[in-house]
Amino acid sequence: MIVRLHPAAVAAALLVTATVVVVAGSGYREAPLVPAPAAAPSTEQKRLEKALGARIPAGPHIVIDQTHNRLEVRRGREVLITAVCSAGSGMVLRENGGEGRSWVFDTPRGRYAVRTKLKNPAWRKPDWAFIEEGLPVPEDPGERIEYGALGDYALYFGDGFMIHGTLYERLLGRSVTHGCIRLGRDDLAAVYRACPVGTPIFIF
Amino acid sequence: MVLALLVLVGGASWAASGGDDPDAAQVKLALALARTDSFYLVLDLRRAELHLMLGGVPLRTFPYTVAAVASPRVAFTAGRTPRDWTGRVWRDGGIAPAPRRERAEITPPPVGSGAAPEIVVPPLPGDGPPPPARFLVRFADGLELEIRREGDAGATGLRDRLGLLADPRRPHLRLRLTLSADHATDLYRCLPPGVLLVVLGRPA
Repeated sequence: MIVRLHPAAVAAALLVTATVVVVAGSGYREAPLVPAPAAAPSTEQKRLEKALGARIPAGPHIVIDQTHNRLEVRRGREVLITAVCSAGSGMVLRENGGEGRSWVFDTPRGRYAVRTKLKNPAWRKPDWAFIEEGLPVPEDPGERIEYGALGDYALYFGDGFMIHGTLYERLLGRSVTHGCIRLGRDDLAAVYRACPVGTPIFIF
Repeated sequence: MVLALLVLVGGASWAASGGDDPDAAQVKLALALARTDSFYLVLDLRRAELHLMLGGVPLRTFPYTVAAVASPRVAFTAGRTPRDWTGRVWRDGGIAPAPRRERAEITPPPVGSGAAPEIVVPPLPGDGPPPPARFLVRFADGLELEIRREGDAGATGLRDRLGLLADPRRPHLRLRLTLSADHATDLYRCLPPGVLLVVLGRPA
């Protein structure tokens, strides 16, 4: 008996078979990743590991997890202070009219250092602080100064960013700031005492 | 300067970076990264830990419980698995699928209107949408870290096969790490873009 197959059916069957074969022959070949037993380190390896370990500051340094709003002060590998903080909201402010400027309220990532420490800091309000509240931006610089908004202390780390206090402690743990790092009153006092000017700050 | 250093270490091989002492060469690469301003990951096979680092300082540590090496093959043809994957710097790593980030926009009241500014209280970090059960940290040079959560026993065979066939950026090698659910979530949320990766320790 001769079976006649339609060429289109044959082509379809071949295509399906080829696809199944290709899919069946694709994927990942997995093997457990078992580390080799550690050999005794060479003199060179010991030297390099010592140099690597020395990268961790022996003195106090600040590590800020801006995603989870957590701040730590560490000395070497020891954690001295753990605090809930607030980092940048990530929101965008667009100016109505005027110059049509916009600001993004992100906390910067990277390595910084405490440049200045202030007690009872005054806040020199930037333009966005007025625009956000629907207020005219003053021409007199003196009208920009506000006392009390930053809490008892501020640690300035550059580009207009600070670690400071807040009037809204109930919002700590949430990303609500304009880029600065806010701390509660007691944690801020402890960080201020523990961290001299020059203290490295690592923000991720 | 930094870019030149990265290009140098990115292309480094055992011979270029540590002669016949591969363990020392790995530490040398880690030290080179510690001297840059880039965020990087250290996959420590000896301690079963993944570290997020900056400047030689471990910012976060993610212990893993299971690790595997998965080599891709397409239509029964194995790819070219890099032989020196533990002895080089992997560059430009990013989360895939990328975390969704929608920036809210603040609408300021018109100047002089006297209207109260809009107040938006963002959710706590833990209240955000959960990350996928599995995600990748995909590096530009063909390495992928697949992060799985403990207890995630879902089958991936067919999905992996189809994904591999459909992906124009086929990896040369995929490392699978199983983290606790909390650590996997934290890593997904906090990993900065463009990270580098070095490995300490070698597979048996």
